[in-house]
Amino acid sequence: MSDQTVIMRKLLSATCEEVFDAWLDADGMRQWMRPGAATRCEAMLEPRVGGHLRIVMTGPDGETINTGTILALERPSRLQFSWVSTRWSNQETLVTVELRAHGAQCELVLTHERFPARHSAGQLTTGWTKIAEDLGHYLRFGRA
Amino acid sequence: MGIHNLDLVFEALADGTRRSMLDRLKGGPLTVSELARPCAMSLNGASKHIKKLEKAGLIRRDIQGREHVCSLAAEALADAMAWLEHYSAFWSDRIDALDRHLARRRKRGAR
Repeated sequence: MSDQTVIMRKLLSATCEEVFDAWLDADGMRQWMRPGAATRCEAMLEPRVGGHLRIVMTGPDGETINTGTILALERPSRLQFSWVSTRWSNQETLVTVELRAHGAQCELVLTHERFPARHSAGQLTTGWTKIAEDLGHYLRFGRA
Repeated sequence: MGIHNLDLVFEALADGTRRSMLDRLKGGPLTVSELARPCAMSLNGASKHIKKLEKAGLIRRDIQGREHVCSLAAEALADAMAWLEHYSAFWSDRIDALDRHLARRRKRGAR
């Protein structure tokens, strides 16, 4: 099993510059990275290529430590960082955030690859989450 | 999981012999000859089924001495599903929170 990838899209009511800068603002990140039930979130980020990030989330499940390195910073359209989580055996995964302006709004596309290819992270078509859901349904309930 | 792999999985599961092989592997690993024995077919025929299951990622084959031992890779599938479900919800929640965060900043007149 390889190439597990999550892709999500959202249209945000902000400029791409605002969205891009929000990702690099550790103080702000502390607020929006905090999951619903978590009591605490710490965030540290060095906003440069090669910079480190560290996000600690404390919640009912305990503490999860997420760390990573910033691999690409192309304001305001693209940022990419490795993502390592204590919750997933510290596997090194790859997150790419791409921002495209749509009038006064910004479309955000986030791609999270569990097993990134050795060469640069490519673009993937949509729908892997849906395909995985369908497969899960198939395997649990047999052929429709 | 690429679309290519998904087709292989469905194709692998679409055959009764292969489904019964998977079923028997739930009881633990079996060698290729053990898997072939109950099937009314040659070792070669059974091998073809086993290869299809292996290509689809549904079973794993380990070589132990002269034997090929097959085991279920279902844990890999379950793990894949868990990861995908976790991070789909994780990023969805956080991007929604980012949206609210940006809206609050706009209201306050932040740059």
